[in-house]
Amino acid sequence: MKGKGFFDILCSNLNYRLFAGIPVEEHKDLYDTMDTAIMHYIPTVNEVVALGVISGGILSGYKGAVLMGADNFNLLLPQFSNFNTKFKIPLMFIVNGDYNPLKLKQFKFEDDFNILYDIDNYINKYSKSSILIYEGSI
Amino acid sequence: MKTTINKVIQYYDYVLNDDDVVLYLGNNVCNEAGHGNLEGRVYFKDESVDYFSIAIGLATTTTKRIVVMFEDYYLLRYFNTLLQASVSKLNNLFLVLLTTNSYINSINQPTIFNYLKSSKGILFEAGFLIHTYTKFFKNKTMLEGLKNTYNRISGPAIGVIDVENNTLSGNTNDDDFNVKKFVKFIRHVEESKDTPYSATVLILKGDKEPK
Repeated sequence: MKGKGFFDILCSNLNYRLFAGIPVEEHKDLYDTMDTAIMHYIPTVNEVVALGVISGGILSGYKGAVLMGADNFNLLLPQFSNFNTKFKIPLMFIVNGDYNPLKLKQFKFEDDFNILYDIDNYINKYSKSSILIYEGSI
Repeated sequence: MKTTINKVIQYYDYVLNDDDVVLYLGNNVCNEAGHGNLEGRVYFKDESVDYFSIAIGLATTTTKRIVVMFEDYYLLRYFNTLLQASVSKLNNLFLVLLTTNSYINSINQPTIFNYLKSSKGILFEAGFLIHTYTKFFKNKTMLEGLKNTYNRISGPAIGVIDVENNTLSGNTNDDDFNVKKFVKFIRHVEESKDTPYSATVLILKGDKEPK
């Protein structure tokens, strides 16, 4: 199970503390390894709310990510373009599956945890949102 | 006796503190709010964005009081997000619902809010503390009572105020959201500030979540 190492790096090393999203079956391994000592996960009523909650947290100074299934990216379009893109509030999406209607830069997680540092660098450096995609389980 | 959106917003400034974050949502509320000079007052006219969810995110991560002012049509549009807020246990989240019962003031198209069997009951059953504040807006002297109430209650709470329809002042407000100013404001929390709110932010610092 790599999920624990995944969150150890993301939360303890890179300081991502706030997560939100709609639970999807593909993320089961990630949910099983979540640790309330290092992170706070909010299950939301839909993906738009997850995006808003994380965006609000970012404004207050907390790093966060939205965990969601790739199929529902379309739902985020108005909120993402009229708030996050307009006001340059970048965040990370953790998605199982390769579907990218928001046309964001994608980082593909395979076995190397260094990709987490790469995506964090990208978000900080360019103030642009990006997607961490993986297939199978972490 | 009902009041007007403009009057409610002006009077509410007396009830709130300068340190509060206030989100004015929707076209009418933003226009009637006029131009504020406080960094914590922000105006979002764009109704395609669910700002309730952003308010939840803000309240989760700060100890400041987050106050959100909106009309009933905005509530109906994003009602599912209010359910998220109601179970959030965010005791620094305060919503102010101005019930005009119409979508656009000028053409007076009614919303379904008044037709709900128990509009306030729905919100109460969802988990909000519900107060009706209409009576406080008869004159300024009554606001002292509301100010005292506001400093004692904890959220998530909704204050409901019935306002007259078709009473817009005609003001316009094109203030855009200044992210840099707002971020500087919200991230500045006075350590010594005596606040009744226990923010979720404590969990984010690494404390174990209480069982």
